[in-house]
This record gives sequence, C-alpha cells and structure tokens, in this order.
Amino acid sequence: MTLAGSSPSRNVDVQLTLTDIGATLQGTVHYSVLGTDGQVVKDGRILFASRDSTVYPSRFEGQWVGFVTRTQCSGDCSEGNDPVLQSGGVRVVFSQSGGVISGRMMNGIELTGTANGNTLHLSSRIALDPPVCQRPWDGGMTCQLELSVSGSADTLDRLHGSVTYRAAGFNHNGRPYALNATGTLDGLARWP
Amino acid sequence: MRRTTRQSGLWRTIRVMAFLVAYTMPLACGSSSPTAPNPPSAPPSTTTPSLPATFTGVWRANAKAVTCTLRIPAPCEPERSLTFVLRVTAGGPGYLGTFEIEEGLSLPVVISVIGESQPDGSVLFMGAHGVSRDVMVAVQRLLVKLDGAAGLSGDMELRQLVTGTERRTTGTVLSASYQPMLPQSGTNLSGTWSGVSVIRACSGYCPAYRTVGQQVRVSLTIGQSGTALNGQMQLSIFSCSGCWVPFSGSMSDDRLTLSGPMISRDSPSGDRTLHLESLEGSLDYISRLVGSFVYAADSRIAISPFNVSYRLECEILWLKRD
Repeated sequence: MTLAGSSPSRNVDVQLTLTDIGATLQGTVHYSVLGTDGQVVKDGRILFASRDSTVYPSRFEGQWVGFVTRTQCSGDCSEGNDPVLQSGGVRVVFSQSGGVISGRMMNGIELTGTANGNTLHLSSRIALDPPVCQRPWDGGMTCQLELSVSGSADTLDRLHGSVTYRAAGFNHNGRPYALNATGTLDGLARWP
Repeated sequence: MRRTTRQSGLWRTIRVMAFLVAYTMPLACGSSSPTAPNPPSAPPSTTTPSLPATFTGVWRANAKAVTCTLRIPAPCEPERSLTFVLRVTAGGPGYLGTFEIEEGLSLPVVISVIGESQPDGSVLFMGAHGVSRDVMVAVQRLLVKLDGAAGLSGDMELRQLVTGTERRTTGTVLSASYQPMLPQSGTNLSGTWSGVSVIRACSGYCPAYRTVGQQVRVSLTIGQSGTALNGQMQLSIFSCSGCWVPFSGSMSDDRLTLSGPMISRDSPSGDRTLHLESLEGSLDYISRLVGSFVYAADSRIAISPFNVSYRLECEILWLKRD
C-alpha cells in the first residue's frame, strides 16, 4: 500500500509505502522538504510502530500539535512583537470534563471555554495596568491580551479553526507594541 | 493536504505512532541501522478502547494549581496549569506507582508513590523523592477517583524544596487520558525511552559538570528483533550538541545488554570519539528501565592540554517509555 500526500503551505511532500499492516507497521517513507537551505529529500525505513492505545475521556482531552498561519495583522506586526504566534508552531494541552474545557499553550497562555461535540471555543484575557505593566529590564511583557480560539476536530483527530487576538505590551527589546491579528489552525494533530 | 475522502470506521479509531530510520539521515556521531521488529502476528484490533474500571495503567493528567506558598517573598503563580503522569500498578497497601512531573525543575522528577483505597472509592497517593542534596519534591497528597467524564478527578498538594526555598502548591486534578500498562515479562523494548542517570565514577578529564553525583539525561531509541536489540543513545553530557551513538545487544531473561562501536566525529572541538562501552539494564516493577552504563570519549577542549579523554560509569535511575 502506498500513501502519498503534500502540504503546499509547509513545502512538504510525503510518500509512505507499507509492506505489512498489523499489530505494527513495516515499510518505508520518502519525504522532501523545501527549507531555507534548499530542498532536503530523505528516505527511511520504519523501525517500529505501535498502535496508539490512549483512551481519551473526552473529545479534546490531551495535547495537540501543529501550525497556525497568521492570515491578517495590523499594528506593530514585525517579528518579535507577536506574543501568540511567535514561530507559527503551536502546542496546546486541553483538559476537558463535559462541556467545560481549559488549555495552556506552550508559550504559557492559559485558555478557558466550552466544548460541544466536535467543536470548541476558548478565550484568554490578560489585563495588566501600570505599575504592574511596565517596561521590563530583561525581555518582553504582554500587558493586554484578548484572544479567542474556535475550532472543530475531524474524523482523523485534526483540529481546524481560527484564532483572533489583540495584544499590547513591550517586546523583547523593551519597545511598546500593539497589534491585532487573526490566523487559521492548519489541522493540529492530537499527540499522545 | 486536506483529505476529503471518507475514512472507514476501523481506521477512524486506529492511530499509529511510528519511528523511522532515515537512510540518508546523517547521524552526527556515526550511523546506525537498527533492524525492524518481527513481522506482526496479530491482526488489528477493532475494539474501541474505553476507560478502565481500576486505576492500574498510565494516566496523563491535567491539573490546575489553586494556591501556592513560598517561605520567602517571591512571585508564586496560582491558577496555572500543571501536567503530570501517574503510572499505577497493584501492590503495597493497594497500589504502587510513580508520579512524574517536570514543572519548574531542570530535570523531570519521578517520585515513587504508594496508593491506598479510600471508602468512597478514591485512592490517596503519597511519596517523596530527593533529587539531590538540595532538591526534594514530595507528593504530600494526591487524592483521585475514576471519573467517567474526565478520566480522573481529585485534588493534590505538592511540596518542593530547592536550596532552602520551600514551595507548596495545592491544586485540582481536572482530567486525564489513559493508556494500559505494557506487560513486563517478555516485553518488546522497541520504542523511545528517556530519563535520568547519575555519574558514579569519572576518570580522566572530569570538570565540574562531569563529577560524581551529577545527573545526566538519557534518551534511547531501541529496535528489537527477537532477542536482538539495536538502536542509538543520546546523553546530555555529549559535547556534540544532540548527536546519537549507535549500539547493539540482546535481551535475555528480562535483562538487556548493549554495547556500541567506537565512532569518530570529524570536529574541531567537543567529543571527537564516542564509545558506549556497555549498558546493562532491566525493567522494574513499574516497567521503567534501570541499570548502568559506561561511556568513554576523546574530546578537544579550548584550553591546555586541548586533547583530553574521559570515562564515565553511570547508574540509570530510570528510563520511561515515551
């Protein structure tokens, strides 16, 4: 069996050739990535594979990993000012019990919200006023943040949706900034 | 790529984690070619897994810190999220297990805990672990019960003592996912393992970060075919920035024995030869790898005498399956 796919937005092409599918997998993988240093092509053999036996008590419980594309930004949008989508990569841990859901992004932003079936909506708010909000002597500080995340999970456990946020504070150089931005969740995968 | 085709019911519920060895992947410290595991004998299971009726297994839990106190005036963030792993097996007064947490510590901490069933069906876990002479982490109280909607729910109190500063954190266990515990006897070790070892002896060039008592983070990738093992190892003390050292060996009577060839690395500085002389280990009661290894290297440093050698004997405190 051969499976092939590509992600134009990430410049990745993948081909998976499976020679045996059972309790484990055997086969090979071929992929190419177009990066800043040019195209890298790799071929590999599956060393081991195990079925993910994780039992999730709810639809969104667990860790989700993937990319968010910032599709719009106004204000001080230069690199280093964005406290939410610093690298484009996102890792978020959700905790869900019934319709109540909370989460934490790996950059420390805490989220709370609701989940209903395959959809979720979370938000986060930071409101720091002077004197707590002041130019730090080392690094940056987010003083104002209003963030909203909406998404839905598909049958392959991929999370699609959007993120909207308004942020203000001091960047890592101590300069004040303010921005408004939106982005799309590019199919975050549940990561055991 | 956006897949729009409908997936079969079977494959909707099956997810597979695979580890790949790239033919062209330039291993920074030589190359290895672990063998693939035996062909599968069992067909894919079509049953949908469900939460267990007992605590035995591996729980990846989310918690919310509610209060925290410090003996000295310093910022102490309440209302923050915590994650931990609780591995539980039957034994002792009811349950034995480990509590793993990385929050606020340079190395992950694994605390052996004992659990006792309570009249209401919950289990109270407690345990303490001394990371070093100045660092101690304790589970003062972890009271959890099985929860059909959340996996686990309950409350907890942690105590951290770091160089004289004590921090107490209370929190609420919000939810947890579950994985069954892998069988211990005759298990297949294929997979990735990570954990901590401690230097028990050093000879040759032994600067402060390489002296007896220092902790070393260890990562192993193991492929298994029958009783034959091979794979690669990574140590945090390598001065070659994330490189891996190949090994091969065998599994016999639940003990694994590994060793690797000396490999050379063309580099103007850092470790220039790397050699896993030996590694011996076994699985403990909670399916962690414990044992010891000997590692030796020739290294190039920036000060006289420039070319140095060292040899480390390390005890593996624990390696957990990732």
